[in-house]
Amino acid sequence: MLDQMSATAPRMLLTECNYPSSEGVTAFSEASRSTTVTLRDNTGGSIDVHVTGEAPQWFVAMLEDIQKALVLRANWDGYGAIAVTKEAARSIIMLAANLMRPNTPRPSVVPTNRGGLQLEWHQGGVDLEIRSSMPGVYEAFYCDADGEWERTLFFNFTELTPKLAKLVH
Amino acid sequence: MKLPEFENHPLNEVAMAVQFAPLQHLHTPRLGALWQLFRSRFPSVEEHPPLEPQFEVFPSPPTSGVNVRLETHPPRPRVWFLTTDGAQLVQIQNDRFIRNWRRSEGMTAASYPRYSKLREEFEKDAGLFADFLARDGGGEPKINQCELTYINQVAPCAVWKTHAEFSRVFPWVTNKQIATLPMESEDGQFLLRFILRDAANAPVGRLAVVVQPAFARDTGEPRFIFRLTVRGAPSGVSIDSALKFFDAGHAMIVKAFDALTSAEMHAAWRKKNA
Repeated sequence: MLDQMSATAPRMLLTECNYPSSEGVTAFSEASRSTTVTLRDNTGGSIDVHVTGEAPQWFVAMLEDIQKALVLRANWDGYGAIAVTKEAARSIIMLAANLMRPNTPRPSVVPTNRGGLQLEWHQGGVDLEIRSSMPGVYEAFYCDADGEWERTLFFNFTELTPKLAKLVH
Repeated sequence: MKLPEFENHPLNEVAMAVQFAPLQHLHTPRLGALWQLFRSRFPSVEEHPPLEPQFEVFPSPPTSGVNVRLETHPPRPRVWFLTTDGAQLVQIQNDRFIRNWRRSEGMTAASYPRYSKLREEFEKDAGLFADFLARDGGGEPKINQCELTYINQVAPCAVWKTHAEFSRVFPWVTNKQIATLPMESEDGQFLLRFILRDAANAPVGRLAVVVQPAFARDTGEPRFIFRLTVRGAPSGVSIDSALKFFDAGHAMIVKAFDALTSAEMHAAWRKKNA
């Protein structure tokens, strides 16, 4: 659960008890599913997306759209656009994994000319756009009959969650 | 308010880490040039697998049963620069700067240099790193997450002998209900998480407390690994902002250490400023 960014390898003094974490416990009656999807960019780099559990259909479709954006070459728009970066792809995947629910509608995935990616929903009188070009920084725009809302978010999605929920109803 | 101190504390490791937007130009040759700045104090080098980005997310992700983990290729190298005794190290990769202190063989509780000294060392070495990048065209580390970790190894003493006696060390895990079961408890591991908020009441980070049973490899003697980690977003992207985050995190960790352990253990650790 707690994936340390900083802890060094444990000193060679201890043997930790080899417990499965609660996430890793699978009852005999449960079927555990695990899938890895590899996304490749056009520089020879890649991102392995390891999914454990039953991923919603929109998630797999979104990964396919991100793959299409990742292979776009620089100047893909004819106006000097930067190629979509792996960092942007990571950032958008992390956003989706943390924020979206199984019943969230499938978003459109749009490359931005600054090397970023944008998720878009336009339905039921609601417009929601979330873009990221570097990990952990998200620019969000929301519009419905009640007005507009725009924020730069740093992994605090408290205000965004209810707006995303409006897409479901 | 003065924080409590423990003369005979069980602290085994402290890590002060900052994560920043990836530096696209921090390639291996630059890491070699960077080592020259640290080499007189950190003469040893090791290479390790990279750490993937970590962010504290609010609100907590929905528990839909789906877990997503990302791995980027080619892996970005993470290098360690170590002191001769291995007690201090600097870890660097293209989105991390980490400064660790570890208790080495033969060290006692009194060997711990204290937080104020580690903070000073972090400021100095992170400054060296940032200056090098600025001079060498390596980019500017814009900090997006900070993490402060304290790892304790709690050894058996007059208060506890076996892992089953976890409530003697961690009294918030009461044995009263457990004792009603027609079985003998053997051991336990625990995770507690707390949300940290800024002055405007917005969530900025978390304190995670982990207790795990372990055994000393040489003697087989039981231990409790008691790990306290504060992680979250600093108020700005600079090293100064990170230091402020660490100061607040340090206070939270010391208070949590004090609040989550028993008075009997405090006596064994010779608590001061009570």
